[in-house]
Amino acid sequence: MPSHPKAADLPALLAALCEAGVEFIIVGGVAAVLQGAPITTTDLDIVHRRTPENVARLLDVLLKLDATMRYDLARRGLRPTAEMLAGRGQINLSTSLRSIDPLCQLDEGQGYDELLPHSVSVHDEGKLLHVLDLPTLIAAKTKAGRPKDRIVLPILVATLQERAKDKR
Amino acid sequence: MVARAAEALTIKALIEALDPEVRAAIDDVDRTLIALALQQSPWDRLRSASRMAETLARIRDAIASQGG
Repeated sequence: MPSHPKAADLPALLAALCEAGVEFIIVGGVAAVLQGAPITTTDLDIVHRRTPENVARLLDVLLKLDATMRYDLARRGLRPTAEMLAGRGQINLSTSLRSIDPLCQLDEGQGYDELLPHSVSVHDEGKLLHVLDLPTLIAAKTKAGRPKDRIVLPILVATLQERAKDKR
Repeated sequence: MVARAAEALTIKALIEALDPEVRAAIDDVDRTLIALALQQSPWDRLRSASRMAETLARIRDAIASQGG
C-alpha cells in the first residue's frame, strides 16, 4: 500500500493533467479558489470528458501518480480503471500529489459537455483551464446543502459580488 | 449594460435560493481577503490556498500528536 503525502500539491496535480492533454472542467473548492474565493481546499474535483481517448489519457496520468482508492478501508491499494472513469459515478483517489476526485458527472445529466458552457476559460502561465463558473458552482453547492457547502456559500456569493463590482 | 443587469439578476436569484442563515452570513464575509485574492493571478491563488492547507494540516497533526 503506497504512502501518499498529506501535504497538498494541487498546482502540481493540475499541471500534470494539463501537460498530458486531459480534457476536464475544474469544479469544487479549486474552482472557487481560482476565481478568487479566499478558502482552502485539500483535493481537486474535476469533471472529465468521457471519450475513450480522454479516459485513457486521464487513467495514464492517474496511474503514473500512483493513484489508489481513498476510502478502501481494507487498504488493498485498489487502482482506478477505464471502466470506472467512463461510468457515471465519482471516484475518490489518493495520489503521490494528494487527493483527486474525478467525477463522471457533477449531477445527473451534468457531464463535461453539458457543463462546458457553464465554465470560464482561465489562461495563465501558458496553461488553459476550464473552470466551473461561480453562479453554477453556487447553485450546485446550494442544492447539495452539506455542512461543508453551507460554510463556503457566503464566501462564494461575496466573491461573485466583488468580481461583478470589479467589472464596473 | 444589459449584461450587467443580467448578472445582477443572477446574483439576486442565487441569494434568494439560499436559506436565511446562509444569506445572513454573506454580510459577515471579510471582503479584504477577496480583494487580495483578486489581485493575484489564478495560479498564485491556488499556490496560496495550497500552502495554507499544508499549514493547517501541519497544525492539525501537531495537535493530534500531543494528544489534543
